[in-house]
Amino acid sequence: MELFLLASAVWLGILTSVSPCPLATNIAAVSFISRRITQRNTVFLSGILYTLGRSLTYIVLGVLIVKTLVDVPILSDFLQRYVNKILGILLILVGMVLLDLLRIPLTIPSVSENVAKKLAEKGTLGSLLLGVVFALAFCPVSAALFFGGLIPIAIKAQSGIGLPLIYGIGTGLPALIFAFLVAAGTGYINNLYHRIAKIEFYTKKATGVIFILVGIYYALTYIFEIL
Amino acid sequence: MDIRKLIKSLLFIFVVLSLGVLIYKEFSPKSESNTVDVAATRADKTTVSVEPVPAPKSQPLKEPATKQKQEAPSPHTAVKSQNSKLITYYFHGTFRCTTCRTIEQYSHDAIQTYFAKELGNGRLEFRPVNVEEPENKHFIQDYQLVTRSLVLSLVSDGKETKWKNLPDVWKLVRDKDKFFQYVKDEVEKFLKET
Repeated sequence: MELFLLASAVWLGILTSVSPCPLATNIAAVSFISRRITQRNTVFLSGILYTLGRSLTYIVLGVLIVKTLVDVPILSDFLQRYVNKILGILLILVGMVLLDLLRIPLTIPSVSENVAKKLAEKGTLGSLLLGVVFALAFCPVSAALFFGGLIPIAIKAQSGIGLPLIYGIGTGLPALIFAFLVAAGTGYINNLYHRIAKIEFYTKKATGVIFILVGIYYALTYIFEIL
Repeated sequence: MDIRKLIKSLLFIFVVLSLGVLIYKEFSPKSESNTVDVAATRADKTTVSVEPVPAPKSQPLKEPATKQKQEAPSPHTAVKSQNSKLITYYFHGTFRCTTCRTIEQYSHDAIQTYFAKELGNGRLEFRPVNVEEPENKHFIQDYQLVTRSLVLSLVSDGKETKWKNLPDVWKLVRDKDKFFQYVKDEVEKFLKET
């Protein structure tokens, strides 16, 4: 029975990630995870953190719903209504940072500044945040699978943490696998041609451009409502 | 002005414009057409109309419907009388995704295929509703909606006596035959009570 629940949670997660509506965010996620394409360990770490970030969001929502009986329809409506709208603007701004069109002054308290800088430099902290934010961007299909599919199971099993965690891993899995394949492939080419620095220059730029395009797509769809 | 600065400025303009539109749409008062909708929706919720879709047309027929209601001897017999009808709601948002459109299309077609007679005599009605319009927001609470949904609502004597959300539309949307069968079975169960 336990195993059946876990399998259902993973399966619902995978269904969420391969459904057409989160496709745009998946493309952005893959390009972000694999943008340090020549450092396979970084890609690996950043993929895992992205997936954990997604799980984190689902765990928070799961605990809120299972333990505090927060009103599910209102929560679902709120997330679908507002997160997608803000996401477009956010993606454009992040894309501009990636393209060095914008600079963000790091104003994190001095103690953790170095750590934060190091993590941000490696792009791993960013992956975690990206996971958190992208998981919040519900669309009709993912809302049906999470609020309509996973949450009833989680409530029955009184599992506000376990099942959402597994579901989150399921939703991150395809992006993770794809990023690894890309990194493995180009890693191999790099060893042959020693063009590490140059390739990374382009992958970072490509990630920035993809973020801006996805951001514009989201803004046109959810704010201007013309797509 | 070099190309980087140009791109930067253009993107900034787009971001500011998006923010502006977002804030405007959130806080602007709704247009007049929506108020008409409110009236129609509320009227349909409280009175029984014998007229099928579209909703606004049902207004002039309200009187005969009320008369019928008065003639009905008791609420018990009324359940079996002309006064009860089945409304099939399809709830959607402003943003229409591909799968959601398919669900709406299939639901509509299934009902048209199997229940043309009931649609014709007003015992059954298919009604798409945008829950992101402020006046339709109450449906989210009424039917505990978490996403685009198909809901059957049995109304007799202006009062809703029974409703059911059909969550399997999401599972069956990839199998048209099963989807049609599912909608047909569920609607039939409800129609027996009208």
